[in-house]
Amino acid sequence: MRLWKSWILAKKDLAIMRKRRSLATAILTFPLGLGIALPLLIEYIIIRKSATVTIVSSLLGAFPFFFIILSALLPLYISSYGIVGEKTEKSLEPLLATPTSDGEILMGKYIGAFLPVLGAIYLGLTIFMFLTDLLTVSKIGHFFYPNWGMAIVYFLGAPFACIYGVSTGVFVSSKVNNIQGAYQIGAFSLIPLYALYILGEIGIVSLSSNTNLLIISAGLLVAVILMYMLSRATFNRESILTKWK
Amino acid sequence: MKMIEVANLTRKFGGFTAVDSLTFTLDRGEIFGLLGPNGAGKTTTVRMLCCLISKTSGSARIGDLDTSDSDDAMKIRKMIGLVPDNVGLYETLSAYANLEFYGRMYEFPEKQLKENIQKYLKMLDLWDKKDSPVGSFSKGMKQKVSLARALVHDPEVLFMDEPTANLDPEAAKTIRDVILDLRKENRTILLNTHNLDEAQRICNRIGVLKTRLIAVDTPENLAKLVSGRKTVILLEEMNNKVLGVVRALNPRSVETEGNKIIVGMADPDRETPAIITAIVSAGGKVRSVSETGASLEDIYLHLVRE
Repeated sequence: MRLWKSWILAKKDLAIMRKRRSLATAILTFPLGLGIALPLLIEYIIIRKSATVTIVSSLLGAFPFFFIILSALLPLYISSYGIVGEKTEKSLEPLLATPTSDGEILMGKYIGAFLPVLGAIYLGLTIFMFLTDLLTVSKIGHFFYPNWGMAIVYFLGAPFACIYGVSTGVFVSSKVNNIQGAYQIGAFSLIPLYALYILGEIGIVSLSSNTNLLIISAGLLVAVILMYMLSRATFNRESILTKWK
Repeated sequence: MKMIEVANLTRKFGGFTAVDSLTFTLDRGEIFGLLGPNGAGKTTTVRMLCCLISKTSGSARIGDLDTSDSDDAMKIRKMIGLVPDNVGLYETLSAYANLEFYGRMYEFPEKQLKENIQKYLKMLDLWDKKDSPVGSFSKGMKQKVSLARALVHDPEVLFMDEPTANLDPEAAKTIRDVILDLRKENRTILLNTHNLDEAQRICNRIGVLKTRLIAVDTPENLAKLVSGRKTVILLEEMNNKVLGVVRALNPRSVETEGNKIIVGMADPDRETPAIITAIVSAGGKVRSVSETGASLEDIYLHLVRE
């Protein structure tokens, strides 16, 4: 595997992303919006609802999970765009005709979707931490973030979810011919994550527990490995040119 | 030196045979045209030779490399250029950025790459538009960028799938001229085309493909292969007596068109003088005599309908 070849392809995908405003906007808007909206929501709850420190702490522990879900959702869209875009522009054939292995092309697609999304997620998480600390320090009496739970989300949960989203996007893109379709089908694969959040909200699973966050991250890692194997099996020259829709 | 050697190359998709026992060779610097109707297996052949899809049986070599060997396949891809039937460019990127990306993917040295991008964009009258997004280009301009992309890494062998299809005459001519220039540079070219006139003008040899290769030869020899040559005799006045004496000599075919008698014959050098003598003896007045061969269209239609 020659990573420098994958990087050439990733740079091309990043350049296309910069030119497509809607894509760049989608990547930045959601994490940044979440990074600003969630702290404001917490402030609203503190001021208007006079929430207790326990309730505020519980919310603060669970909110970063939103970023894990977003880390899987966004690359789904970007990687679908990367593959379906190549399909609709009919650029896969000349790309496959270059002296580049299937694995190098796939890795390029992964890097091109992973880097901007994870960058935007980290930016959103950083804003979220900063604003939350600013708005809650007077209520809680100390800075809530950074903490171990956030470290798990930051360094394990979000990157694994991101790679999972990319893999799912690549796999689903081989079956459909439009980005919206790929995104919608791919979004179904995230049902376990939505379910976890609901279970957290109704108190069955604690999303602020570091142990639980580690277990969720481990589960995501297993899903990443399975999904990568699936997308690797799907992404080969022969199938792309003879079987892909 | 043989640049492409194909022997009994076959590709099946399930129970459907797309290409059946294809055998041909191409010398260095040769332009070989593959003619055939839609679904004849032209694109599948090119894809197999470009190591994009595998063969079911047979063998194919580019230079001294085997297309079915995975190490060789990577080397083959480096030495070939492909103009696919769909241009397949990145529409949001500029023409320059498209060529730069592909040049790098072909692992071409950076300094030479920049020189080649300039050379080919200028050759194809696109240098002034180098920074414009390809999406804003006309179909002809996109096809030119696609051709430049196939050339940017100086490949020894070029595969072109319908490079002038649906282009305006001017764009088509530019592309044909570039192809002819490439022949002077000793590049080997396999050209898939529907355009018979183009094939006749550009190609050294032509193969007619209909799943199997049903004929391979120079355009001139193909013309002889099918219907021989025809002699066109223009008379001052057509009459049945003259026509009768011509038919009495039993040539291969006799057609009339106004005051013209078009006589098909196996050996015009021997048969024409006898026919003219017979016409004059029957009172016919001959204004002119000329000879014509079968057109490539005649040949093509004859072969694919067989």
